Amino acid sequence: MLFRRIIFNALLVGLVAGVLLSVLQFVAIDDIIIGAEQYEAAVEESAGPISQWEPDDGLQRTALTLASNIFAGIGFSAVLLALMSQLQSQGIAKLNTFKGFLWGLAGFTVFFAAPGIGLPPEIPGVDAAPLQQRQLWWLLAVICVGGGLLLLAFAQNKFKPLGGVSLFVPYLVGAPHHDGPAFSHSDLAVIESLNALHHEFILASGLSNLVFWVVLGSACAWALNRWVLVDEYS
Amino acid sequence: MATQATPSYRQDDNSPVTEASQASSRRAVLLQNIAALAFGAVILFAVGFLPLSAAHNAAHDTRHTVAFPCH
Repeated sequence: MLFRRIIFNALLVGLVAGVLLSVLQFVAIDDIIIGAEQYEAAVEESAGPISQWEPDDGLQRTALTLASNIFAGIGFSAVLLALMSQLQSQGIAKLNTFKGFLWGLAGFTVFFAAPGIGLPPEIPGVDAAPLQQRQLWWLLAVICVGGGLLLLAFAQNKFKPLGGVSLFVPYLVGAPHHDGPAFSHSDLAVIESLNALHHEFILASGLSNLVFWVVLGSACAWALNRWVLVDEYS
Repeated sequence: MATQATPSYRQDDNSPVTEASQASSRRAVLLQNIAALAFGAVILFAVGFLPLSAAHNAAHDTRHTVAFPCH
């Protein structure tokens, strides 16, 4: 059954990509997040105690991050495999591992770069617009840019301009922005180090996501031909 | 229509019977792909968007790393 084969392969690819992302995160990103949280904690302490559950730093936090990275990998893989499977079944696309690499670049563009143009990746403690507005705009950016790229790559010529227009819609609508500085800290030296951490974070998360996506895209295309559409091609 | 479906007609690749079965298999493929896409979207929602504070805190570092809107 096609559905079961997609899910099974999404679990496998997601596991590999999620572990890879966790290693990259451990090497390049965790220190930045924890560094920024120390400033955040100082602000929160002055605002009063919080009683919500959160994982203990160390093994528990690392294990939960590994698990949620794997789940993110599984979710992205299922979406990618479903789209690849549909396009290949219809004869619109013919995937191979190199084309999977290109799909990975497209996935990076759709899920990281496109929303990031309006809402740059954030370290903890950044003052930003209300969460729901940012989430809605994130979704708008992903759907418009993802749909636009699919139309440009696979639609009949008469629909391609629609794909081109779709790429710009989120930016014409405009990402929600917070009025005022990114960091509401009274100490200028702290703000300076937070800004430095933020720039470092954008670079580190960008590179990590790029590697994560090209591996995920290539692996999905390979698994698609090897295991998912096996009925049609064996 | 039933009278037209003679054995020789059925063997023809363009027969209504074969076309109907192809259409139904295309529909089955489409439905399964949509279901798989929905499965992926639900997982991504749970990891990246679920507003529950425990879910947010458990997936906190992932949300930052993959640049889902957080906090």
